[in-house]
Amino acid sequence: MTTPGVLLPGEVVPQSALPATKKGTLTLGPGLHHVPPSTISATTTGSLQTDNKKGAIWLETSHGRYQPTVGDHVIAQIHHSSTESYSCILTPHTPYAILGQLAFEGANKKTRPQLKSGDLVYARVSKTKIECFNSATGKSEGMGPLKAGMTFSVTPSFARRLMMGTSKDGQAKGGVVVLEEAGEKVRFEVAVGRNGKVWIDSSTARETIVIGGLLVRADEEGWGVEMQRKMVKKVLRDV
Amino acid sequence: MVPEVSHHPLHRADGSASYCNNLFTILASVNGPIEVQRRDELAEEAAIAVNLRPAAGITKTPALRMQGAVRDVGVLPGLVNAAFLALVDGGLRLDCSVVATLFTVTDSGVYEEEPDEKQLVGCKSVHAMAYSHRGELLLNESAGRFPWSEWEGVAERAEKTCFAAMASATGDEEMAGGVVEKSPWLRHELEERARVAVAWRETT
Repeated sequence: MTTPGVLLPGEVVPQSALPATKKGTLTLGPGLHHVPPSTISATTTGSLQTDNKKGAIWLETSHGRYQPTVGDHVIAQIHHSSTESYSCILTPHTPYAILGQLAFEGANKKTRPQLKSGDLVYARVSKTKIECFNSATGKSEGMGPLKAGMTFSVTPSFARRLMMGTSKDGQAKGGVVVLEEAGEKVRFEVAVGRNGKVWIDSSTARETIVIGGLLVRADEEGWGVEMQRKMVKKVLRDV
Repeated sequence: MVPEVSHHPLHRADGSASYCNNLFTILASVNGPIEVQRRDELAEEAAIAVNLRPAAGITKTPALRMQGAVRDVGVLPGLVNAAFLALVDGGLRLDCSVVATLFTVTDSGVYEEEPDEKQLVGCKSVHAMAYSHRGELLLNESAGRFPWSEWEGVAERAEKTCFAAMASATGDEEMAGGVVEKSPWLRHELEERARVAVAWRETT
């Protein structure tokens, strides 16, 4: 990673900051806008991040609403059901996301899941809809209805960090260790949606709320890795 | 004078900011992009709905309130700055950065930047101006009696003030040409927030 420069809306990305690749192609990520022929300007405030290997450049921001992108895993809430599909809420005040009644693993007209309004599903964004199975393989790959448990709201950028996974040496790439640390003490199930929702289910409501509360606080108060470890230990001692 | 800013005070809005200058404290919230009501829809244009609500007093229809605000030149720069900060916080796509400022001119022809309440009451004319980071004049509302030369004087000073608020560290040499060094408060505010957002990258 190069040293991040901060851009204000409308400012032009300096030519020197663009990553050079062998192919000479450039991939623009969120927060950037291309004005032909060769001007790239910022559309919001953020710090410039580049990936020289992929020739990618993007603005990293903490703020803003989730914008759906193909392939993202999201937690959607059923708003209402119609004959062909469910209308689901991804983010407030936005048009409903369409989830086909048969877009589940092994679903046909007789075996499709019966979801009521308010139910949650873990789904993947496809081109125009969301789906609860991989349409290429027909497998659920962990997606489907989320039963029991609770959801907690975090910022989309924190959700992204949660989903970054761990590198080869076991370090959390996104710098969030709350779930790993808590997992050593209590058993729980978790699903993270890129739309800023985290679903947690455990044996007792108390544990669920404690873990969710830790995540929300880690997000809002910007805890570092050490602080996260400390707080998880402190809070879980009483559970 | 650096205005007081707090980012994202409202958790449920997409973007929000509070902005406090000599005259007003303004809380702005932004939701977007959202679907426009069918009757307001214009296929080739973006629709923006603006609501102004006073902290005290009865609420009027949005159109009436807008008229009132535009007539009250003194409140305009604060509204523009608060709205811009909220838009940035909401991550909405913007074409440019904007800063607005208020100037008053006294009877004796003294220019006052960001006046307080007393100065505002005692002045001869008041001017609200906003400039983009490219130097385009985006807002120009004046009230009171003033000759053309005075307006020009205000415009020149306002442009410098607005530029100073967004000035980058590299642009300082250009700005230093005889101008009193003002703090780039807007850049500081936004940069600080952007830094916090990537702080976790440094620790990992």
